[in-house]
Amino acid sequence: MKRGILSYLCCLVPLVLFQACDNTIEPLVESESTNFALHGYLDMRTDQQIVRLEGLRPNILSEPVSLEGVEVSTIDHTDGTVVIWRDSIITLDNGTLGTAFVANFRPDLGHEYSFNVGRNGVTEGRATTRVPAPPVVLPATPVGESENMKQHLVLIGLKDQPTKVHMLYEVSPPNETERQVISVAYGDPGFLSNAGWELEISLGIDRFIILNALGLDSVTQDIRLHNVEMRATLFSEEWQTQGSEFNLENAHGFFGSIGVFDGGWDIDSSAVRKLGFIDNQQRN
Amino acid sequence: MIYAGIFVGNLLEAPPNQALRFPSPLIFGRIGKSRHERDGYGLMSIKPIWLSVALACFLAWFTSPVFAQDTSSLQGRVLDAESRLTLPGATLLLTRNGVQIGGQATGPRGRFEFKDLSAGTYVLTASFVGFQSKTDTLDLPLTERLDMYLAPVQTFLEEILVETQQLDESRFVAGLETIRSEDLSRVPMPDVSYDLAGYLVTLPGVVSTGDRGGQLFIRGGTPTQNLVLIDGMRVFQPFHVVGFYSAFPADIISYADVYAGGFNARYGGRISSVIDIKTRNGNKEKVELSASVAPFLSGAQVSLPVRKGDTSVMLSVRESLIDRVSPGLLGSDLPFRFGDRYAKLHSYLNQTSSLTLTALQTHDEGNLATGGDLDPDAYRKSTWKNAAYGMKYMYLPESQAVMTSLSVYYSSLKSRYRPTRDELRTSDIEDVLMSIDFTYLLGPNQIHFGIFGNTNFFDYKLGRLGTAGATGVTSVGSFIEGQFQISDYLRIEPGARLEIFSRGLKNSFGPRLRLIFQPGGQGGHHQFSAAWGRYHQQIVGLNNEQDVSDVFTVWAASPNNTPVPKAMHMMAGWKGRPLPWLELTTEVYRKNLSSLSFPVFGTVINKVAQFSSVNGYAQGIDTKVEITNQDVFFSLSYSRGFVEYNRPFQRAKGIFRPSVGGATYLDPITFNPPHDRRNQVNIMFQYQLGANKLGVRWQYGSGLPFTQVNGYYAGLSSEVEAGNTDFVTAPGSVSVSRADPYGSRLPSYHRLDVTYERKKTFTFADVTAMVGLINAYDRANIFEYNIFTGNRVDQLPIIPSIGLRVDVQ
Repeated sequence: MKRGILSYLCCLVPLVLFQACDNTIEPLVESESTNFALHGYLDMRTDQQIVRLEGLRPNILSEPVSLEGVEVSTIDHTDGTVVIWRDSIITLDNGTLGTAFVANFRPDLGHEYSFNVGRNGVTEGRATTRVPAPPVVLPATPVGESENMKQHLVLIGLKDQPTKVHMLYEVSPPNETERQVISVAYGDPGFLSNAGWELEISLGIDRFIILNALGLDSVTQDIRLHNVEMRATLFSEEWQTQGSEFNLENAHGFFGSIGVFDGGWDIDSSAVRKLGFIDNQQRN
Repeated sequence: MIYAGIFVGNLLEAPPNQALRFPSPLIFGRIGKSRHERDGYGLMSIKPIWLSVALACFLAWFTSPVFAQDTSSLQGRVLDAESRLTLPGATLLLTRNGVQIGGQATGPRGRFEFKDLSAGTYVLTASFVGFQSKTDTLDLPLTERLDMYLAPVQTFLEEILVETQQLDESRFVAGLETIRSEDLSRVPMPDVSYDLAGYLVTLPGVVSTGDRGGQLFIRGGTPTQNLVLIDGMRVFQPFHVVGFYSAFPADIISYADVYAGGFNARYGGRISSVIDIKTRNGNKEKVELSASVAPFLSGAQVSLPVRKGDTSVMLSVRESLIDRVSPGLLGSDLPFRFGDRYAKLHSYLNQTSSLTLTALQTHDEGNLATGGDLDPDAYRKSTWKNAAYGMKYMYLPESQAVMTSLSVYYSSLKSRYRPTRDELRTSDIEDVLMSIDFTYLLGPNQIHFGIFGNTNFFDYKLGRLGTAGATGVTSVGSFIEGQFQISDYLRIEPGARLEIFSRGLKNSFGPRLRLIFQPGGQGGHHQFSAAWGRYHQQIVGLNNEQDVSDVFTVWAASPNNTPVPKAMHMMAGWKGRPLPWLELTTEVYRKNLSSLSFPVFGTVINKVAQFSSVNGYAQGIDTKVEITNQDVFFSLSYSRGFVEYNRPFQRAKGIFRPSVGGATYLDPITFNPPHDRRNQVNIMFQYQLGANKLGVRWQYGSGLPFTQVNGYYAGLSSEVEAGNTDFVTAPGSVSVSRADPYGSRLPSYHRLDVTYERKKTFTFADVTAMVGLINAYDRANIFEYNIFTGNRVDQLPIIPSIGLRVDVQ
């Protein structure tokens, strides 16, 4: 017991003395690999993807860290596709130079991608994102009459707010064969429930918007309705949790994805007639 | 009349039937001596230290219970001389040859008993509220029971109120350390006057940010979780900007109760600790005057009778000089200025009531930019001003042992802080408290009941952060606490506090419990104590925790619909006196903490725009060894502590209002907050040789946590948020990538202070001269380090110090 205490003291005293003498502060984490800052997202709305990349600087005033030799790639973990990105020197708005990496592809709904940054084949920083999966549209039977007619929808599988929602009505004006797509903006509608994202379509009001778009009066009855679709922009989980950087490894900043969802359904024929349209939907 | 409060406070806090035996008059000759004698300037003889220690060992051994022979007991009763009824709760003091042998209070039937007394002549004094004290000289052993009859007093209050505080040294209460005014002189200070702050940092479990900033962390709690009271008045910034000094001059302090946790139900509104300071009254018979001059702090204090015997006034003024003398003394600027003013009027209104008026004002001013040569462009003048005013009326009816007090207090703190030269942050808080307290004296048991109302006003502006607000919160509540002597061995102190708020928490209920167990009964050599309680804090103080030392606190009410900070304390301890000159104390504690507000540091540098809610705990063990004899005092304390916070996944909150803009979600993390000091050692040594006194203190504290940086980059999150491609060419704002929160540690803190004093007594005054060295081996202890700029500000370098004090007779 006594020997144990003495041994403990023999270890403790030099340790305390060593600690007591050390008077330096290391403000910077020592790391052999470079930490990166990346900002960008994969966007289904375009065929060209862009991500800004920067090596972390050791202090505020130091020059940007060279990215020479840095390799950037994305891997589509759903189908295994690998895309190599190319660097591009860009002039920033303040006249200084920055580095962006560019790749030509369009991501797919529901696919998971990793964005890898490294040197000499060794990945040093990584970011992942999953483009939101397409929801299943569950339409309810329209209710109400004329301009008050509404249809309740549940987008099953969707957990976050769909944005820039548009209803796309494909119609033919009376006595014309040419089809026109009339878009009605809904903004960021609905609410989250246990079933999914729920929202309401105002079919009665949309009819007046369609008539107005076609230059017709409100009593026109013989418009043919060919197709009904919803288009919504879906943001990945990272957009809802900004600041958390949960999807970044040895990297900082932001990396997410944007998907575009197009989904259609048939409106009940009797409801179409009540709206004053001729039902010409093909999926019936 | 304030002394009536003190008197009752003693009854409430001192274990009844207390009869600790002090077998060696030599060893315990300090007890009961005059102040001069206690300070070592009176009748102390000059002895080599080894002789004292050897003699003390010998006497302690020789007079220990094993060798005690031919002992007897002294039994008796205390009775009312008129009614012949027994007097439960009367106080008895037993002395022999002028040395206190023991003291106790009578039991429910007015009985008392002193055990294990050797034969000889003793003096026994009995006293009780409303009765004249009586002293008998006794030759033991007695053949029969002793009855002492006390006569009711005619001049009621004058007789019963005790003008000097006599604390029971032997009591041991888990979580509580009672500091007497004479204790303060044991700590070397940079001037000849002493200070509570200097002593507090020597207590195990108390972590200080050092000699600048004036912040104390007590057993895992933050400074804003400490309740500091002076004569019942709340003081929000209790320490001066130079951390050596509290806002309370040592000369005015009678004693201070420091509850490191597990505090009583009479205290509320804070979740960590309580520092309850009681001041002494001015002299009602003659004028007292003292003054001291020293580079750091000079002051004067006067006490004078306004109406002789009834009313006194005490005034104290202190003012720092260090900013004016530091260039010459230190070779560099020390741009801090601070001071305080204190006034107290105490009056016996009649035989049954008294009135106390108290006022305290403090001011602090400092340039926190740097402690070295100042760049005029970097000048950051920051100020703090405390004000506290109080009135207390006490009434003690002649026929009932129920003391009533009515108190009204007002406190305020106005802070002005400049994080940069061009930015000013302000925070004001005002506090109004009214209370009525009743103390029932039921023999050896007491019940304390009170009702109170409290209103706080807050006004803050956080500069360029853009957050400003003015809010308030009002509460009413009551508390009850009891002290019940179950047996000679066991005392139970249950309590509860109920408070209803106008916002936020709505209501809180805080049960409290304390147990005190003495296996050997009164006079036993070992005591055990345990305490438990639940605590809430409705008003919160928020600091920027990323700084090593941040003296700016924003006070505000907890937001509505947000859980307020809560804590549950558990602590238990043992105090033993195996030898008369040796005292050992050990305490273990755990505080479970929940719903604490903690800043969220984003990627934007120096911006604290959001807060998170964290839970956590603080636990540790504090041990202390004290050796005391006539010439030598030695104290060694060691604290092992551990503080951990955990933050669950959540959305960050704005400061006092919902966050605007995009939501920031926070990942779950576990970390050690910046006051998690794992190891702390404090050694104090004092040697008195006649009129000479040498004081030495060495402190060691292991390094505090801080957050390292991975690097810096151009932040573009706000551009990316828009979902367009503007981010591709946006220059962005300088952002920082932080490593794991508080994952690294600063260098350890240690410092040696040495002072030497010599006192000379003249017919008209006592004159004390002091020379000293603060930070004697010039340790560069860190005070502030800016991880972004690398700018480091150290605490005070080696400082030679001199001082002169005059106490006019």
